[in-house]
Amino acid sequence: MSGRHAGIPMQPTGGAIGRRASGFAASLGIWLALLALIVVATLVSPDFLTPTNLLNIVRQASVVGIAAVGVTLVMITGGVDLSVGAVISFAAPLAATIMAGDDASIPIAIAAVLAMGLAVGIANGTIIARLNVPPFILTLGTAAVVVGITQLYTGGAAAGVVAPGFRSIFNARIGPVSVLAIVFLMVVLAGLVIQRRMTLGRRIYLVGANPNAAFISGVPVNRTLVTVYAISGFTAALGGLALLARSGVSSNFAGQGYEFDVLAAVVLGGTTFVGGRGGIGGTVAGVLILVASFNLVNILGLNFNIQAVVKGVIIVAAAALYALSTRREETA
Amino acid sequence: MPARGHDGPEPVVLELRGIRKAFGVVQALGGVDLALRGGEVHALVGENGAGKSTLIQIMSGVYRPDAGEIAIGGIPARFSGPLDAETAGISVVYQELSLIPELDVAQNVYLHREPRRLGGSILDRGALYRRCGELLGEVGVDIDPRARVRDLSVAQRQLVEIAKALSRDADFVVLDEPTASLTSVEQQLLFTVIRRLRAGGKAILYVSHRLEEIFEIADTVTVLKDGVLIQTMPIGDTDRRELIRLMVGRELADNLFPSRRPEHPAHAGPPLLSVEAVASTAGIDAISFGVWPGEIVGLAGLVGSGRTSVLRAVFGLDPDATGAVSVRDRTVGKSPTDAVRAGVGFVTEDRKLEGLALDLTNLTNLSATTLPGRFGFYADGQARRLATEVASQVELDAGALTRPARMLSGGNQQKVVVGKWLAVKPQVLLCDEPTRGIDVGAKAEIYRILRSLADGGVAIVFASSELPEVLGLADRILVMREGRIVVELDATTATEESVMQAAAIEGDAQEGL
Repeated sequence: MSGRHAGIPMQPTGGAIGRRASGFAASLGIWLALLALIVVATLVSPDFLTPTNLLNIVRQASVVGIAAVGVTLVMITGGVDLSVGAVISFAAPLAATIMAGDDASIPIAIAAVLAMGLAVGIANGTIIARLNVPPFILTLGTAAVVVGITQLYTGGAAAGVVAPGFRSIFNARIGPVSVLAIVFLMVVLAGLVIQRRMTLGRRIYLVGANPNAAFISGVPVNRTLVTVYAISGFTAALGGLALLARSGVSSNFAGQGYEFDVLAAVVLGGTTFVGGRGGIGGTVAGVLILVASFNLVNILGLNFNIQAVVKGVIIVAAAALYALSTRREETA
Repeated sequence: MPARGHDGPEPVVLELRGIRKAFGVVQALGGVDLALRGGEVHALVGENGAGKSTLIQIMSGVYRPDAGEIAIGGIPARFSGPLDAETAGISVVYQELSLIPELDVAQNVYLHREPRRLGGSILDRGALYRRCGELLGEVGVDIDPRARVRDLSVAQRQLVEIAKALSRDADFVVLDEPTASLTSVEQQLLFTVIRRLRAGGKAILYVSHRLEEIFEIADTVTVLKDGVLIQTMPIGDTDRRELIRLMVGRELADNLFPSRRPEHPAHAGPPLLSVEAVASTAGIDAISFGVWPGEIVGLAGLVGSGRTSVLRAVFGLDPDATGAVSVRDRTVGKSPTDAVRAGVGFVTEDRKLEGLALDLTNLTNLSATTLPGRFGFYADGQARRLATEVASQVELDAGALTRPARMLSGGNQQKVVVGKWLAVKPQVLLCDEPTRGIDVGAKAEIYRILRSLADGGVAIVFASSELPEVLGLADRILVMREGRIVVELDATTATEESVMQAAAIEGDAQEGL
């Protein structure tokens, strides 16, 4: 029950170290880990710490990063969204078929993809809230449904043609910074505003920390859940558009495995499955660590499959570290 | 009075000498000596924060003392973990139930110590249930060893927890608030068990906030205050008033309950809260009553009589409930959100499960009922002002606002649970066991808060298993039996006997459950 920590005064009975204090330490820890990674990477490869490469990392991080913002909010409520990979995948053929190579159709294509993401999210949230289905199973199920719909929609093969303007808009640079990186930044800022400045943000933490207490306090728990899953669907769709802009070609499976990267980044950033803890700030660091290590594997010219190993090791290490810090907290 | 079947003091079997323990800058224990004797029930009392829990956790090997030693049979013992303490024969029944809900009773009792066959590789299920059945029989508890703990009441779980401790053949049994959720009948059952243990020569340390029962069960009492031992004395040499004075450091015994207004709140005009023919599959039927502004109504009855179900149905937490609830003649919808909107608040029985988000700050918890905002943006300043105002109303240190609720003592946590409803300026406040598991000083403060709310025109309904609380706090008492309100009593003339008589199930008064 009780915890012990130097310098933090606590009640002599039944106290535990402040989650806030430990949360802060954890989120500081993740940024320190990022810093350490950058230092190591710089020592290992002279190509790492160059403006071009750093901007490249941020650009590469945009897909996972944008989707991770929504998933972070979901996970603060104590849920999880495994359907983001499927939504990212569906974004490509949906946008590409609507555009059909025509710049004039870009706005409609974007709107359609975002609406698709929202629809999937609202469906997830509604079923989870109303029927009390475990989010893990439910979103795994909706992921399968969306993958199936993608296949039906395209007839099984990659379909549609990306309009040339679509690529050039998203890959354009404002100064040295690519539009994709700016979109990523703006989504992060919007997420931070929701998390810290909006009533919704308070509801999200209350629902995650104790749904019963939130419900009894009059917090509209169901509406809050539907909203976060809708946001998660929306950011996943936006992430899908970012991925399409980078690849430039429609594919039915472009988003495959992204739910794993997103989840890894979020958990690495300190938003655990427990709910009520963590936040988007940590997630950004988590995304950057993940992508920077992929990038390092790349510029060192190592086997591509080492990325997978690195990813796995990072996740296991992060999980072990959080478990360890939690245990120390709880048993003193 | 406990019967003592011996002459002179029993030998000291477990001794704590000069135990000191600090957490950061807080000195939780400042050199405590405690001697437990075999065949003796030693009560440990003190307010929350007095150091009782820390002392127990040192005895059970969870904490290591900064200084001082534990001696068992005169030989110093070193515990590097709870397992060492258990091996040394110390068994602790914690207030926080440690049972696994998905397992059955026997599996919980013999967790990690299941009887085995074939060289330890296979569970001997037959022996498991047989042994558990015998143990429960010895304890005198009528619970099926195969029942899943999830399906048991809180009271039954507590008894299983005690059986679990006894199954380890401990020489020293520490009971931390064992009766917090027991009915008086179950409490007597527990006392029978404790007396049997005492007769068997075991040393028992009994921690409780309920002073009445200490006089019933204990032989010796030790008072702790602010981590310091104030006094150890035979129970016969002291009384309730003295104990409270020693614990609190001031006279409280006579004004534990705030005085009622001289004139009974007039039942003129329509009631503020009106409950009509509420019934539910949760075991309540034909519940009708009204509460007028300024009035505190107490719901009394045995466990299972439906007190909690009534409050939950009124607050819209029971989807099966039928009947009508109205506030100022306006019907209240059947959901907590509707109830809150209608000005109804609900202090739940279990503050950890339903009252607080323990990981979040007290500020956020106090704001949970209001979450002020404009166009979706959170009005942080407004929330902070409101919470500060409420904190001063409930006498909670403003510095606590930015700390997680987890870090507060039980009494202060309860103030936060009550405080979050003050924030909505309620018209009606429902409270289920408003002082469960908190010390006498904090109780007095909760009573004061509720009374001053009532004096401000709020209608209050509370359910309590503690009769002195019902008699002392309420203006009117509704006694429940088997899901119905059987009688209404004026609290100023009611007695424990008159309430119990109405509450007891005919011909079955001894059973309680």
